[in-house]
Amino acid sequence: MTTLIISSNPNYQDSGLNQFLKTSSQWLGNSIEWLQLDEIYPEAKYTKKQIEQEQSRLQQADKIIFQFPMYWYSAPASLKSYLDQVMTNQFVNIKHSLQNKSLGIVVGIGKNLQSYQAGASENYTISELLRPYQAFALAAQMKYLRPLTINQFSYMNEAEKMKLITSYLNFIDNIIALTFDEKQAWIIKNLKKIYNDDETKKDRLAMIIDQIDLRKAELEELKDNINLIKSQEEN
Amino acid sequence: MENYDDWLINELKSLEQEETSFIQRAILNEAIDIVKEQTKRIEQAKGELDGRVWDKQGW
Repeated sequence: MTTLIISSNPNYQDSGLNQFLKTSSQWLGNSIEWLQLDEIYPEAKYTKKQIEQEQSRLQQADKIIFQFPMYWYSAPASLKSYLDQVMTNQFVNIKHSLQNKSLGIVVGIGKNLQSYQAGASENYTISELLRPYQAFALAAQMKYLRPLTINQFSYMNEAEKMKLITSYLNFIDNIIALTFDEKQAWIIKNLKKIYNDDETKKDRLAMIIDQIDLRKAELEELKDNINLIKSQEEN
Repeated sequence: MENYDDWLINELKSLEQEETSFIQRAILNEAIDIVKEQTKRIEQAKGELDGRVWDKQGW
């Protein structure tokens, strides 16, 4: 699966969050493509050839991420320019080029998440504010994912930043939100990528992975037994 | 079960403390949370299974 991350941020060079997410995304290697809009298209004007290039890039991705800091309850101008010029009627509505792809939003906000609810200072939820992207996904026949909201990155402590890395990697690496069963498989897959250059640690980790795998199987067996009894109870 | 949990978590913590890459530390840290969640779910599932077996025996 490949994911195209379209990052819109006029201050991308100074943004700690943007850099943090970009570095984190590199863990996933070639399955991730990062498009920094304001860097590649500083004038936000696309030639016919550039539109075709971007449309081809979109077609190659299984999952598309719009990633941006929230500016006045919306994305920065570079994302709007991109949408207006690259997402042509022909491309989206006639050819259905984005059909069945997933659309995920990663949004950074400067206030506490609790401010974004009815009656609180911002009054509207993040889901409500992101509704235009949801409408776009619907029109493009895409699967719209639950957004990943990152609030107050600059105030995060180390533990919160570590949690953010795995939430983010999980979000961009998978087409849909994972069940616990899938999360176990996902962490095993990522643990296996660690310590390829350290045999001793690799051995220690292999024992850990075996145990996590055994426990995963134990949980599955227990659930199967419960389901079996449940079905007998119903009969 | 508890001994294995302790061993697993301690071993993951030890690797995490020795690790210098922040991303790899984050993954080891996430593995600790997954192990804790596994423990919780295994205990819950065992409890549910016990409860349903008892019902079946007509107690």
